[in-house]
Amino acid sequence: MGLCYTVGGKPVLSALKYFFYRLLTLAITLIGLVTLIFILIRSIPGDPARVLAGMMASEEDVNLIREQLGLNQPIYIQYFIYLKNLFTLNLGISFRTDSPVINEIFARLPNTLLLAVTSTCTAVIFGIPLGVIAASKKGGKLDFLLSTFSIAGISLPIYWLGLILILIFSVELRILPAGGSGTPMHLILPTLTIALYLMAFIVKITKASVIDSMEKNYVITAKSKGLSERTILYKHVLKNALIPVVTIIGLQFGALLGGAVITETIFAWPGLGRLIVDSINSRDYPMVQGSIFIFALLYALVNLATDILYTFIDPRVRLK
Amino acid sequence: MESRIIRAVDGIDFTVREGDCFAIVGESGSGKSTLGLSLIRLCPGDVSGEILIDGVNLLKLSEDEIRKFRGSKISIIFQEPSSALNPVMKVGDQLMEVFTVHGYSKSEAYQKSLQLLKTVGIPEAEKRMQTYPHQLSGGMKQRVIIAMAIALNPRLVIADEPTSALDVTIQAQILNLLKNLSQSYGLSTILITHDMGVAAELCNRIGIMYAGKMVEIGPLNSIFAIPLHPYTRALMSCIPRSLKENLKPLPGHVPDLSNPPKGCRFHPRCPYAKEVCTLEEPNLEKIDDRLVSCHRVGEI
Repeated sequence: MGLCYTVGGKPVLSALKYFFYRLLTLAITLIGLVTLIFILIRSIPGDPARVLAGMMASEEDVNLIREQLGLNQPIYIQYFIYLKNLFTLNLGISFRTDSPVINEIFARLPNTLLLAVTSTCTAVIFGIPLGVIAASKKGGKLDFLLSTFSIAGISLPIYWLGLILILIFSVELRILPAGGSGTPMHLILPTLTIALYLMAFIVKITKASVIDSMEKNYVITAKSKGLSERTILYKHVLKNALIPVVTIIGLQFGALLGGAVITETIFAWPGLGRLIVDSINSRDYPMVQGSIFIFALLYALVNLATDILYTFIDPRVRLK
Repeated sequence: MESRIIRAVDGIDFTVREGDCFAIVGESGSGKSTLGLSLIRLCPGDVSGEILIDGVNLLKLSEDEIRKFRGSKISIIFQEPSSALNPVMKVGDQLMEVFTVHGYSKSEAYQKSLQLLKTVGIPEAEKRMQTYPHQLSGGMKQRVIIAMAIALNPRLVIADEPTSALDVTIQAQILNLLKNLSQSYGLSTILITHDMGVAAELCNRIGIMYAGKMVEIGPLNSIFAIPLHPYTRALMSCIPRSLKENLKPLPGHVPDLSNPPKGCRFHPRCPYAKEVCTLEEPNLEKIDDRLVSCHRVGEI
């Protein structure tokens, strides 16, 4: 999905056309994705009817359940029914809970959104300034410290970090709950776990981007005008350097909307990520398909929002 | 009028008199752009010697002091107008910065910038102040850069290949602009170029640079009439005079400056080189109205 570049100040596509173009590519992507998910989930060994009926159930009971779920139909019929329902925004009924998939997802979505927003904001608020500091003190002690931190943050596995945080703050200090949800206190450790990783990433990207921008010719021009290093960094370099950083933040935030599967599992956080894992385990086809569909939709929308955000940062990318 | 002397050092001295245009001509890799950046102390490497403007040695100034000099006393025009402007900042804001950083108020800066854009021949100046660089053509961008460079009427303007990245028709326009500006402002200019034609268009004195050294310095007219140094001759024969005459490109290329040849740096490419040229480095000797560094200057 390309951006709309302007050539000599004239937009290649009008804003409206661009928007429809993006919606069309979004629709095509989603159809491809749901088809893939439909096939993939059915190629995992295991029979949902058998899972639901239990190990001890008779063959007749299993067949009965299979019929109720519509799994006795040929696979292409199942596919077309699924697609038809999707067009009316009907995501189906969960095999496991018998309630509409959409209700289950919307019950979990706010938790996932909350975690994604708090952790991304934390990471951005600390990551960008630290990245800029690392770049401006390149080669110094602070840069070394920050670089070490960001390498560690990126390479330490999230499940390890999460467990260590639980060990420190819940087991030893006993000041924060180890899992669950409901109060702001419950939010802190999962946020911290994701934010540390994300922040390490943002520090690294910001530093590299700032250093890269510092070597551009317009920086020499700015120096030749008599501007100080500080003014050049904040007035000239930063805005240029943030363009790639915004892309990374957008992509990472989009990925978090699908639920941070590991973090949510460690902290028993009732988000989308855990819903997907639980549904895969119980072969709950409609739930898996539904939640991945919603996830993909959100991801694509965040991407669109990132591209629109571009137009505010980079005047070379304009819609109108 | 007292003539003020500006001196740059790269093993050799040269001076630019007030209101003069001095051209530094050489092939790519001869060190001319490094020299240009060194003059305004923006060269990443160390610079030693003296750079004097109005008797002030730029190399002795503190970081804060040289910053006040840049833009106000000495300025530079770069080769690539497209990359020399900040892509995400409005043209007007970039221009106004020259004034605000040197103590002008915002409204003064705006008025002066507007006036400058008109001076450098940019139509619809009010509108252009609000545009971004990518909305301007290469020639227009170079006009903006020139406006920045002359904004505070500096003592010295360095123009580093100001037209090399532009179309031929635009080149002529920009050269004309520079010519008119240096006349009306009485600018002292150092023009860095690889193009003898461009140098002839703008300058009255010329220094030929080869492998980090000046090999011939003198008035443009006499160097064009009788080039003394073999390298100057070679450069001159690269200018096409008529359609019938074949171009005589100079064989070989500029030596690696980390390991320059012994003796005269030009001797490996020089048709007149003798044994002495491979052993001893020639000094700049005064011959009539110019300086030449060649062992064989009287004989050839």
